[in-house]
Amino acid sequence: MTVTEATTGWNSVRTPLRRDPGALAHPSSASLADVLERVLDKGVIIAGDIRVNLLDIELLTIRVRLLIASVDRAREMGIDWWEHDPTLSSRAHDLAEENRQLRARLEELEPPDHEPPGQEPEGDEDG
Amino acid sequence: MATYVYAITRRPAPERVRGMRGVSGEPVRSIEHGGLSAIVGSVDPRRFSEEPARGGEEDLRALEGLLRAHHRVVQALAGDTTVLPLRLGTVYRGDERVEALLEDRRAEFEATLERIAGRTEWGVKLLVDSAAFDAEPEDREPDAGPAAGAGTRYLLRRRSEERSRQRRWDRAAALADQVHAALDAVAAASRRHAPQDARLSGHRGWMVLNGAYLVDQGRDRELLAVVRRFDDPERGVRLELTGPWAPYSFAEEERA
Repeated sequence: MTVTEATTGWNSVRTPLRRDPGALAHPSSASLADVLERVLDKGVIIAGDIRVNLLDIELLTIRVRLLIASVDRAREMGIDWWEHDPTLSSRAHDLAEENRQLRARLEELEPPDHEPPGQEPEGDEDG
Repeated sequence: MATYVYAITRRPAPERVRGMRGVSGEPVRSIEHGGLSAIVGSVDPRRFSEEPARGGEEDLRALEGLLRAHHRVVQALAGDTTVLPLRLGTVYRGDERVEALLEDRRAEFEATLERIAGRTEWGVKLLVDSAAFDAEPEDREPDAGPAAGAGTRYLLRRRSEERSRQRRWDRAAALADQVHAALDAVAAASRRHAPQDARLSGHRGWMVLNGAYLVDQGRDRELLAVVRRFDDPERGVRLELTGPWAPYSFAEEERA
């Protein structure tokens, strides 16, 4: 049995697929799948005044899923067991092409997380 | 400035929450009206353009930031007050429009807050290891006999595997119904969500139950006891408990 606290989200689950060695140090935070499921799909629906550009949330959800859980990336991590799951294998195949297209974007998005935002200057000329 | 709404509560945002930063890094505050509070933040309306999102990188980054911030505020509120979470991305042109919302829909909000007061949402997933689950003698490969050729043996084996998988799936689905019923008996309300995408959640095996349970705070232990009772890793049956959540899954009345 696994018990997970719902206090934080997003990074905690994305990180295992992102080769972040620190990711597994936070086993008690909510998974991205759980957070997405609730924050995007549940909660009171109120129209509001501004039609937020996230209205096509289904599309965005799918893209985020692909971005984070790309088949290629997962396979790199040695996670390929869904290919043996009948409920997932056909979809995985269909999505493979789109994943390839998204892969370039994934690569663009990933590196900054593992590097400081700006490289420290090599040293002070005066010093 | 526009007004982004996170949640509706009966009390103004506690000090701790007012110190938080919201979806645009803005301080979280509350708008009180007629005994209800909307937990809000002032945001630049240009951030929420009316143009359809194309799912590009900027949209994804925006969505990530919104998700994280929205969830953080809602969960912080849920710690010590009854909170009705709004779906991500509810934006009004100004505070007076939010006051009008609280006025117009007061009866509905009060009824929902009453329904969720003193209760907590828990998530329970039932994961079945499709290989280990309840392997029975008939699940094993039959003997095709010495006369059978390689092709026949292959087809027989494939058919047997398919039947075995189907039997295990049926048993797993029946177990899911049983677990859900036991959890539902402890809960004030329950919902069954669609199984999650394994590539996102990272789970192994079949997610045959992805349930949300609204539980009276005094009965949390009973729910936990049910989870423990059914959890049986040696049989390939694993239960996962998540929470406590703000009652996202119970914010809307169940549709018939």
